[in-house]
Amino acid sequence: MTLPAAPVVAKALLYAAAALVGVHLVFLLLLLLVAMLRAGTMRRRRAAAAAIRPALHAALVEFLAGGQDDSIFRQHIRTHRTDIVESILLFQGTVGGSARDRLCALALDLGLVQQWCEEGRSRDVIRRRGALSNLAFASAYEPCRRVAGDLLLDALKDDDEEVRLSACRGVLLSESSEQIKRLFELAIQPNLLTRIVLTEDLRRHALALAAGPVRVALRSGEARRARATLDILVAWERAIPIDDLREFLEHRDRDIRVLAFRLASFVTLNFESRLALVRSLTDTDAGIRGLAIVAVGRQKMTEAIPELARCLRCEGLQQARQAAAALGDMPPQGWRTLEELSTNSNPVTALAAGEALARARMEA
Amino acid sequence: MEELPLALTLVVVVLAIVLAVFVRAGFDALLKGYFELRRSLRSTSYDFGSVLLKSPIVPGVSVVFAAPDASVESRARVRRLLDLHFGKHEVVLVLNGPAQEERIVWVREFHLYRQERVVAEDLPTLAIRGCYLSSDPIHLLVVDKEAGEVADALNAGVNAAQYPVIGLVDGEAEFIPEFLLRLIRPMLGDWDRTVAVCGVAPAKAAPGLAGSIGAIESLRLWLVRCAAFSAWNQLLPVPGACMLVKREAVCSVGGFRAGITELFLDLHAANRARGSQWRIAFVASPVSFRPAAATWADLHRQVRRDQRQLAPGLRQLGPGEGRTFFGLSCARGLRPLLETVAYVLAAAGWITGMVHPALAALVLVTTIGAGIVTSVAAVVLRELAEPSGTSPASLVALCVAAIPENLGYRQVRNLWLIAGFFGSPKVPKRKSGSAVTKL
Repeated sequence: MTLPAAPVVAKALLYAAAALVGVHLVFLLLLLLVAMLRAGTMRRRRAAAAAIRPALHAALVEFLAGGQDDSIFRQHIRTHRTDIVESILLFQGTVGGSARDRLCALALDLGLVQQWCEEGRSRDVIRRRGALSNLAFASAYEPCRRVAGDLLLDALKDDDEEVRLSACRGVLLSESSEQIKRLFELAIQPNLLTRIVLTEDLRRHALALAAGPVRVALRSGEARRARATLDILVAWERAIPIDDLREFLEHRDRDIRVLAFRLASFVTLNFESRLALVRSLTDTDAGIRGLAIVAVGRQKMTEAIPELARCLRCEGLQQARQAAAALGDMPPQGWRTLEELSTNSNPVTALAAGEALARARMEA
Repeated sequence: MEELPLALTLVVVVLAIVLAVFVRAGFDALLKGYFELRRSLRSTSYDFGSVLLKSPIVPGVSVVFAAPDASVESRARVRRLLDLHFGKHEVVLVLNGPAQEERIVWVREFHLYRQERVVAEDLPTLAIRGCYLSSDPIHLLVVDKEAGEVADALNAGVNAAQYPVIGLVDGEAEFIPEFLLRLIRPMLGDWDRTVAVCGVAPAKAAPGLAGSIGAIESLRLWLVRCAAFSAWNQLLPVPGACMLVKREAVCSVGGFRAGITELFLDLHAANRARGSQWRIAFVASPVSFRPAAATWADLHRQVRRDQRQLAPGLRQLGPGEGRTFFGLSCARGLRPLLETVAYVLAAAGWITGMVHPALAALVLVTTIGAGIVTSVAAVVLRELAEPSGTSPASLVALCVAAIPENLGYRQVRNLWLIAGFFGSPKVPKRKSGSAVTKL
């Protein structure tokens, strides 16, 4: 060894490293102790819950069936509050009408709604989420709504997306037209999750919305808003009165066009829109042509039969099949066209026409 | 010759320092993963699952599966994919040049009939022989193509997919039927930016020492390569993961050039080219997992497979992505090599008296000692991030298993990693420029 200091340095480094490892290990062992205690507590809690849950479920079933005995809940409300809440929430998706009211009334009687209101103001986002989700469910019952007061409205401005969504769902149950308009505006914002969740809840208000906010959004001139609105209308799948779909059937944004063609399958169309549909059967975009064929078929537009026959003769197999199916939906002229084309020299045309004719006759 | 002890001492010192740096970086990644996991698990909820299941607004998912053969296992996997709970989904089964007998097996199994259809040609693939649909009420599209690489089969599946999101499942993954519903959530929350989502969780430990060591490995993998990498937006798929990728994003990087790992590397490269606008999200909930290793043979197979998936892609990284995944390349390729060299030099130096025993011991402390700390930290941090329901006794057993893991298994694993990293086959490089096509 030519470096006399090397052993000293090596020893110093070794002791330092060992000390560092030791300190880390001791700290981790302390944390392990904490984790073990927590794991033990959780296991005990789970075992206790597993013991009481069947009795709570049975009692709830009886209570919802019209029974008056809620003593088991009152008896265990202090010791098994979480289990009672979870048992009640287990039924939220399966009951409606008076049974749902009874469930909410039980939650109110047991002081759970008040507890959810308190937790709804908590700084812990997980607590707030749970509380608002429960309150959204309980808001179907008017006395619960009164207890919740403005909490749901305040929660519409929460930082957390899920809290906001739960609050929206609760607010929608209040049936206030102003709030419904406000939530529709929220639904057409870019966030897809918000739109998906609210679309389902807004479906009940489809007609009222179509008369006002939907029309405003479609006429706003903003492609993004129009696209979101069409998204919602398509998801509702309801025959909603739309003034004029032509503008969207011929829009420069392909996504908007696609949605408009889907919507065209089940809304009443004016003359202009019907003309636009027929024109689209010769669109340069094959996808659009396919959607137009489907919409024309659903609308049973017999004036488009010559165009559909042309599609059947000229398009590839996929679109020829769609055109044939559309013709099959329009007896008797459509069927006559299919009969003629089923003997066409083009094998694709003959195959698609033959298949559609056979299917149409079988279904008839 | 006189200078040999000095040179050896210096080399061992340098190696010990470098290994200490690796340990420090690994521990930091573990902590980062813990905080990310806490955040991710706290923000995850399944409250709107039933709404997502029913809503027509939720984008459809085409699950692409390139069947390696027509075995019972492959057919069972397709059945499981068909049983997924999702509103709009299809399974695109790609048969990569099957023999006539194999095709007949598939036709019989799923009552397939041939259908003429036009398959998009967004990605270049070998010729498609035909498409088949099932006469059963299942959403299955079978694409029969000329025999080619797995990447070619996956590209054919993407071409045939009708939905805007592609679902991919790792070959080893065991998944829950709701995994599509869980994975789609981050995409819906930020549709414009989120191009891919990866979901995986560690499996429960198998009994025995090998099982415990396998469990510690999977915890480290989950905390570092999943959670921490997700926090840095550098997520790459890990074994046992289920994934969603936007079809447009796959097409924009020119499709698959090898496996799923290479696709994600290409997505990251494209993201860099676009100024980091994309996000690859991680779902830490138990949607999918790799079956726990129960034997030493399982451990060897898992390490080898993981390394074979990762190494070819990492070895070919360009300067930009190379910087991004420098840490991972070091951890998978350089660290095992340097550590093994350090052991050999320290042992040889100590035996011959050329290296001071304290220095040799330092190498052991920075590798084995620090390794034990890292393993115990993985067990503890996972439990603190979210209680797994493991009994206290099992937690202690896992922590105790960290000792044999680092005193014996670690050294053998280093050899497996070296062999896997430097012995893995080459994959085709991404053509320059293909990563920045319009999305």
